[in-house]
Amino acid sequence: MAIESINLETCDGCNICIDSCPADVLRLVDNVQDTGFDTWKVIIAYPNECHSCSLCEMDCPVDAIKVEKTMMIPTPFQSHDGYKYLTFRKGGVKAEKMAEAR
Amino acid sequence: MIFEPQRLECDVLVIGGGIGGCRAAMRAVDMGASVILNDKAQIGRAGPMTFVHSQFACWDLTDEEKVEWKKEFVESANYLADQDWCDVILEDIPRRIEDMVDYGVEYERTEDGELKYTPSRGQRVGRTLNVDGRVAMEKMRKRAKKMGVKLLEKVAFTDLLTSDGKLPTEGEVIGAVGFDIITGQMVIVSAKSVILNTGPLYPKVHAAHIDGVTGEGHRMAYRVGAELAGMEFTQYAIWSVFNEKFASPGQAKIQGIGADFINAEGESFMDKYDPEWGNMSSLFRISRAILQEEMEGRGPCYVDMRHCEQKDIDMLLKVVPTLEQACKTFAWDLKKEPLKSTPLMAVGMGTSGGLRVDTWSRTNVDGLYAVGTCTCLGFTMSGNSGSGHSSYSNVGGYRAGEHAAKRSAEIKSFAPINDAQLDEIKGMLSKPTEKFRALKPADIWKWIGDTTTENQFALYKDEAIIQKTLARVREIKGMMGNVYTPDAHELLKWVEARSYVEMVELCCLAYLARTESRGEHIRADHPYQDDEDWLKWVIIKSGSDQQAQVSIWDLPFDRYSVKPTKREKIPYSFGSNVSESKQ
Repeated sequence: MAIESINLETCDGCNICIDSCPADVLRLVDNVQDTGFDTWKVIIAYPNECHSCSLCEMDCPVDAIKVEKTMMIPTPFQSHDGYKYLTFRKGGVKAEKMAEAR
Repeated sequence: MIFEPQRLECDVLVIGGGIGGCRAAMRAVDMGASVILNDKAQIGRAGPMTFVHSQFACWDLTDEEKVEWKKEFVESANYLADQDWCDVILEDIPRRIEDMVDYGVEYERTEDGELKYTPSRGQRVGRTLNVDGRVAMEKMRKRAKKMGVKLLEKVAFTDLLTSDGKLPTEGEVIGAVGFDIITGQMVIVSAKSVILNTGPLYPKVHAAHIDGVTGEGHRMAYRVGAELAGMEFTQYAIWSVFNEKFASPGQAKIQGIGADFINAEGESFMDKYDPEWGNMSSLFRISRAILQEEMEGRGPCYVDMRHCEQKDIDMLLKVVPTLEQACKTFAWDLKKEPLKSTPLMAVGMGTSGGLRVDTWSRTNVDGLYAVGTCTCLGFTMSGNSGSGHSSYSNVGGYRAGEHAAKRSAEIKSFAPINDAQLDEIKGMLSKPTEKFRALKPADIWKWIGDTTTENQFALYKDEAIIQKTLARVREIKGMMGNVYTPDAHELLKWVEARSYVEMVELCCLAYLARTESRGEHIRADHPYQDDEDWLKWVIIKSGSDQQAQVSIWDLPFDRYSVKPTKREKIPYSFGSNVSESKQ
């Protein structure tokens, strides 16, 4: 999983971040198997859709959320050896060459 | 859908909770209407107005200055501006901004406590007020609630209901249907008037300020027969993908504090590409210039704020908190290092394109209003304005709210909902949830993203490549029915993808129709701005057979006060020649 982490020790399941999230990424669960707690905790249900806007991080009353700002989109991008798609992934940049000879 | 549908009634339904939506809802409630204000996320926590908020503040202008500003609007819109709207904006903005100050929106002030104006893209004289959008929109939300507006959040509307049950309608709009994005419960609202404030059209590119606005309003209005204008000026570009890590909002503000665009040799290059506007040029021109510099071997390019004053940088970070967070995360010091800029091109409505509205924000369909960036932004069409959009939404929202409330007061009872139409919408929404299929909504987003961000399509469109893209878009549209959505969240993603794909198809038709190059619209096979034949609008609407009809409208220059000086063909130039750089 890529773009953010939630400190479940401090998360008190107040639901504020779920309201804040414009991309509907978070959900509230009380699932011991997922979180290790039997009280309400927030999980990152749809990590691919997080666009790193930080609203949850800024709104969290107990500072439990940390957003890493990593883009995960293909970007048409000109590099020195021709057009390439750059896919930004956590831990590095992966480049895939587009169709030959533009 | 496991629950019975939720049924609601109101005089005025406002779909979309940006500044225009809030203003419309508040004005309509003021006029005595019952109002529901909807957002598919939460007001103040989603949409462009949350991430970047500024107002173009032209107070106390003399009549002469108004003429000057109007001329500037019209020229920056390449004479395609709706000049009636220019007059309305210049007349109404002071009062609308006074209201905002009364509502407690705290714009940045100077040390003496006076409102602080900064320059913004597309302004020769600095006339922009800045504020942190989250705080401003939170205030608007609270205020609306206090005034008696009913908030309906986390509900996504997908279709409008019509009095005759037909698409496109010959009657009027009588409500809307949507679903709760968490539970999936269907929501049916009967409304006497509907105001759309659904924002522009963008693909999902993981940039916070543009990811949620995917053209639902455009789609639902188009289907009931509303006219779309300026869809050919939808070549959107952002240059604020910084250090290949983070796509930041606030581009106009970064330009406003005096950022410089430099290439690998440290040379400032924008004056070469846009002698008139330089570093204050449009998003599209800057992005293109960066790509051009890279193609000619002078890349990568940087956004340089090292020479800016510390207090201006502090103000920038305060009003664009997402950028501040990124600076903290990556330890970027804007005073010490320039940020590497990667342009991103896509089909999207940055500055133009959308529903055609009159100066009361009415579309051509009875009972349907549109406010803000989901309209064709008449006064700045194909233009270069930084903070103009939010002021236009502010003014347009107020006017729509007033007119819709008056209209609704004259209607005695709610029109009956056509059951067949409702069943059809229900069927469309439940189809992707019924049966497992391998295709995901994310696949559609990936395909359409790859298609519309393709470089040659973005920069050097000719008829062949537009036709090729159009064929691909139609192929993707055909695949929409093969997608599986296990829950309401995925269903929303499918609905968003459907809106975007269908609107891109219309954009392609508009690209084909306009056989010249103007503003963001570049046709490599027609490399000239044709002021002789093309001072016209391209209008698209849904015909009675539900096929798109493209028509070309003349602008009423006989009654407009700002007239084009010369009507001739001007070769379209951009630094080095377009056709040369194609090779």
